[in-house]
Amino acid sequence: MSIVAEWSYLPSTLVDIITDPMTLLILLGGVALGFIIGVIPGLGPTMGMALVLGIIYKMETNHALALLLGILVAAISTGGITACLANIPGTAAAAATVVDGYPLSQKGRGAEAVGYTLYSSIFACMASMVIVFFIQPFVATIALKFGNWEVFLFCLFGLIICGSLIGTDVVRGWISALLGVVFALVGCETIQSVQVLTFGKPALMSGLNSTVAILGLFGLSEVLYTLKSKRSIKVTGQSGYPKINFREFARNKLNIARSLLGGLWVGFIPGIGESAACWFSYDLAKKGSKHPEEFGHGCPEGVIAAEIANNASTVGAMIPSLALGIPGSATTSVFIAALFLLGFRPGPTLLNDAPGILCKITVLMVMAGILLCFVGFFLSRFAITFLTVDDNVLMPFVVIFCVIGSYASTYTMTSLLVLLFFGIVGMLMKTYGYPIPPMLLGLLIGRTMDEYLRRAMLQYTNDPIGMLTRPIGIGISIFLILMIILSFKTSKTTRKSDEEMAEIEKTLQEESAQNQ
Amino acid sequence: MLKKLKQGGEGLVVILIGLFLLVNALRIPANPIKYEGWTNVLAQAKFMPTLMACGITVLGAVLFVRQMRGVDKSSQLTRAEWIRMGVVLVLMVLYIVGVYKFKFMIPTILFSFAIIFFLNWKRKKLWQLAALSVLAIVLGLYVMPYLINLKLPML
Repeated sequence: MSIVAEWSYLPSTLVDIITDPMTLLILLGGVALGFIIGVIPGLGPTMGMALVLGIIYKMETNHALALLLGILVAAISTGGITACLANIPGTAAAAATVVDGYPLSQKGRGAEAVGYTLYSSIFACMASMVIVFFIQPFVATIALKFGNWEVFLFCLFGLIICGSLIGTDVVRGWISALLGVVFALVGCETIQSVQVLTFGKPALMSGLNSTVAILGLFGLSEVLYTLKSKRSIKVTGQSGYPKINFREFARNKLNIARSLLGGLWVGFIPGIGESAACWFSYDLAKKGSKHPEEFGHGCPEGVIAAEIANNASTVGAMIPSLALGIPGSATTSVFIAALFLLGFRPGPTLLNDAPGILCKITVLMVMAGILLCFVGFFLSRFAITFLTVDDNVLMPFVVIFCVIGSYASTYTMTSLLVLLFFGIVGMLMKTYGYPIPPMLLGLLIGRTMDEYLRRAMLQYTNDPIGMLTRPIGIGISIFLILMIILSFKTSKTTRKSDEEMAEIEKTLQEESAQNQ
Repeated sequence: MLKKLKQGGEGLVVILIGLFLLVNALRIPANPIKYEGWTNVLAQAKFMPTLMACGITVLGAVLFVRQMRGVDKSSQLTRAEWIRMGVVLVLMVLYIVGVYKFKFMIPTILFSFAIIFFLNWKRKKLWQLAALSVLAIVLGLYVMPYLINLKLPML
């Protein structure tokens, strides 16, 4: 299919969606739900999308995509509201927003801080999705040139990066990733139907369901970990309707463009995720600012840079997800799982097999952004109310929804035991500091990796040098080796950054306690 | 010596997991169709699981050595946190096993009351706890299945 052919579906897709009131209603519902999910710490877009996975497979495609994308856009955009008002990032991607958002709020400019957070995020989502819309067909064309060996290398690359950069410890990250691959391989393998790690149990022959695994790893484990302590959130920021300071946005044109492109680039590399993007962009903004000394004391530039980058990186992660079927982040990995449930096959042939899908995703995300402008404006006033919802009340509901959701996705009782298994694994991982996203990535791409490696071996039976000297393969291999070397250095730097961040948080909390 | 070993306990556990997986990976049957030369090794179904298991074992050993040297420490939870997490876990296990054995209705009702009461009995009044439990039951057993047209096996 030609590149232009994919773009030609845009007008008809737009008309289809706008003239379907049910899609718009579900999109609005998804946005409202996503707003609440993003604001409440401990939930987040990954968990929010995971919880609706059990529902969407019964819905019509447009409705299912509307619900998912509404939740995604709203949840990643509103994590910064909690960061500004309560000094706690609503999502991991809003970690850098705390540094300047909360001090800004403490100066009595809470409504303005929320405005910067919300509207930067919405702009980033919409602008980056438009860019992805134009880039994606080109990337898919290049992806079609990927052979079995290149796909295997790219999967390995994603796992290595994800394990290295998410969490503070490279070793634990890689253990998590490798375990995920092992879990993915359970069942009858696809080439010669050999039973792998089934332990003679017929129930394991079809493998471990990724939807159930996601519900366990992000749902149940989060419940267990959240409820381990009696936590209460102190909200000291003032809110009200968010204020939009157009002059400040105009002053930050270069910052916005830089953060947008930086976020897209970080998102494109699989496994890095939104949390790295926000710090990367914050650092760039500080270095490029005329007043770097203001950062950390309520500087709008810092809030804008962090929020633009974290949203752009989520959308940027869609590029490898849709083009190669390799999730760029934990959030997009859940989105990919959803696409599989809906009958799509993310990968180089997606645009050929499902023409117009890119247009649907683009239109729905842009419309979700537009709806969030209004929903966010009115609901921000109640953000404090959402923040004070007690985890002890909320989490039991999450458990029940996880259990029913896992039954709904497979119609078997065995899935409940799989859910419990992954819930316990996730709980132990969180307790001992093992990052979960690498395991999820391993779960989703493990089988693909195995399949493509073995196909590559069979394809180049008598010509291993031919396989190793493929140009794209050489490029990815060099990058892979560089990343492995850099990852050990990054691990030390990340630990230092985490210590610095902990120091900043401690200082902010002490100042807050003194002000009270 | 025992104290040092306890320090490296996490690494030891990872090594054991890796070895368990390695043993079971090596026991995976060989491919029914044979290939020529080195391809027959690399294209085996057991190759990737074996590789991953070796990787986990090696990384577990690295972790163990780091912990024994004192460079790495396992995260610690307080006793109170372990107890609280343990109780919630036990309730969850009983709920899920209960649903597996006895279907959804009775375990969901019992779990809903048990967990909401356990987590909130000091903070909320009795009627509030009962109302929340009933809400969880109604949403879980009736509203959610209705919305997705799902027939839950109740009894």
